[in-house]
Amino acid sequence: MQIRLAILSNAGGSGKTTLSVHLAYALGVKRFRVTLVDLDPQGSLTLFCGLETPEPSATLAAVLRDEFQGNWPRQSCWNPHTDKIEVVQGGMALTQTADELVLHKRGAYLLADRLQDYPLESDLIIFDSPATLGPLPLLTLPAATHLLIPVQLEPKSIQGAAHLLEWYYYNCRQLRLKPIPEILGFVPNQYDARRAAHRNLLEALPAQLESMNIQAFGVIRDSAEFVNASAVGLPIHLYRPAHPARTDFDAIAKQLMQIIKTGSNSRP
Amino acid sequence: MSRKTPDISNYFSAARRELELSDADAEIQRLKEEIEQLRISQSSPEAQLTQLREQLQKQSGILSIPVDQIQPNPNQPRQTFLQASIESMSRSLATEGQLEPIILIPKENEEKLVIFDGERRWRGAVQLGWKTLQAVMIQEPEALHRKALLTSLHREDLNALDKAEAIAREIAFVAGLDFQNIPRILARAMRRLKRQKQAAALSALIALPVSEQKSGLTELSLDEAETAVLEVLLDLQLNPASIDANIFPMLSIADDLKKAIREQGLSGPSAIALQTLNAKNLGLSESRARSVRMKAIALVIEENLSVADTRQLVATIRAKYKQSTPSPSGDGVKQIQAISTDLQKLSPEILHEVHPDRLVELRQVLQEKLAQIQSLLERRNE
Repeated sequence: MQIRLAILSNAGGSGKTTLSVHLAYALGVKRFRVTLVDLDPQGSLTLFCGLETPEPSATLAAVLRDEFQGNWPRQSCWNPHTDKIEVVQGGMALTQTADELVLHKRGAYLLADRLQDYPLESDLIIFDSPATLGPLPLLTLPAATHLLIPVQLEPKSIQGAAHLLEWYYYNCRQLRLKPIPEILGFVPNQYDARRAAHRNLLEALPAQLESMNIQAFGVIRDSAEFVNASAVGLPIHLYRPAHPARTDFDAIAKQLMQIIKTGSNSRP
Repeated sequence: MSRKTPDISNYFSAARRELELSDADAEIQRLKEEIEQLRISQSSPEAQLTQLREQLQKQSGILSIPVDQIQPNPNQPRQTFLQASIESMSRSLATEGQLEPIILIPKENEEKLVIFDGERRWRGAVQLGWKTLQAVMIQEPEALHRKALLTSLHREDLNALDKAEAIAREIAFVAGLDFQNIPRILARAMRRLKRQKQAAALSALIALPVSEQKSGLTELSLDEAETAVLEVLLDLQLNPASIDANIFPMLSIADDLKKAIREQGLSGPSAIALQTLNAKNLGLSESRARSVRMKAIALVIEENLSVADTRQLVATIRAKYKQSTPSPSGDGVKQIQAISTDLQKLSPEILHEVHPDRLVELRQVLQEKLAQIQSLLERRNE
């Protein structure tokens, strides 16, 4: 099956874009076709994928316009390392889109409509969302099959994620989604094992999530090399091929590949 | 170190409630589909439905309940049901039928079933003369009123009066205190904490886990009742200072104002402003003052005045009556009586607790006045 994965978090700096590009790369090198879709007006994916700033007509904003005819603006990235990954870029034009969505008749369903009318042939579509709970991330709920929620092991970020869950349950009911996108899990990010606060929160988190039947994945470690890699527009696998953090995404990638192949999610 | 780790289970409580609602929605949907399936597949639907209802009764499914066997929940935090909102519910029931079952609780000591959710639908149905309503039953959860309270407290549309009553009732239940005394106990504690400059320390406890709230309270030299009241407020994540200043005063406003809040949607802050239109401030008899206040209430509601405009109106009315009453300087006897009474109220406890600087100030004022009185009396005796 095709996975449409929304990466959601309403706290800034929780590692949404880092998670998006590394999962894209992990599946791309395994010959799965991946499309990254940037819903963020900041257009962080443009930076992280080493692309040029696009014209507004070459961003997701154009896809969401009523005149859209199915010509998705796609940029392939990390050539020649892989030819399986493409990006639908975001940008400032999306701020206007967000305003217009509020009055549009199909509002929250617009992205889902586009994907139904003009399907992408990818195995995995990743929606990278802005750090708010506004109309742009709302587009991903009807469009997505699965959700991933990256969190920093900081009270502010975890509290933000809790509000995100509240928002998710509420809006899935409001939008009458059947079926609702499944929460694949929480991904603890920027983990620093030397910090007691991180260790304590990491220990406390799974019990909270378990009561809501949500899994917590293993941690993505904190490393300055993620920042350095993003600055040159590469995943850490290409920037520092021997860096231990490159394996931190393996468990999530493995589960995604299993769902694509079998259409079902048997949790570890 | 572990002292610094916040209790993150608090963070997820609202999300968990949303999840419960979603699960309940899914369950109701499933049951509806089951009934629909049965309707389609069975040759004798009525008999089968009866059987299903009986079966669902055991599993808490959707039932058809006579409206006269239903009563409102006395512990329902929302005591305000505006006539307009019940009428709009009636219209919706009449045109679209009942969309969602109401939720009822069988109680041991009550003949009738108590409404947990759906009081507006029930009132609307009664108004329409309906005989029955669709309902699902749940067993009474242990802390039902608390759950209802938490759900309502976070809804913006609960008015300050209902909020005050619900909070005081919760405290009365949990702490075993008399409902009437609770605002006084809180006011006493807050007054003392402010004097001791501890009010900020109290507010800081709101964000902490319950165990730390308790240990924090022990450091504030409170009596047993005060501790109990503050524990409940902090546990509900409410700021005691704001409850004391803005919410509990609603409990002591005049009955006509309470009625206007409940039935006509008068706002809490406007009610507080209108409350100052009383016999004492206006220099009128109780009944005259009441009629002045009633007219002002009617005007505020009719013109839909903002809180600021209401305050302006109150000030204008007060100024008008102040002019027509004798000026205070012309009525020295009353003023002296009032001040003597006030002075008597300065109890040894209060004097003991205030800052010495305040005592020095007071002594100076008293000494000056005493000297004036002394010389006046001496002159008269001459």
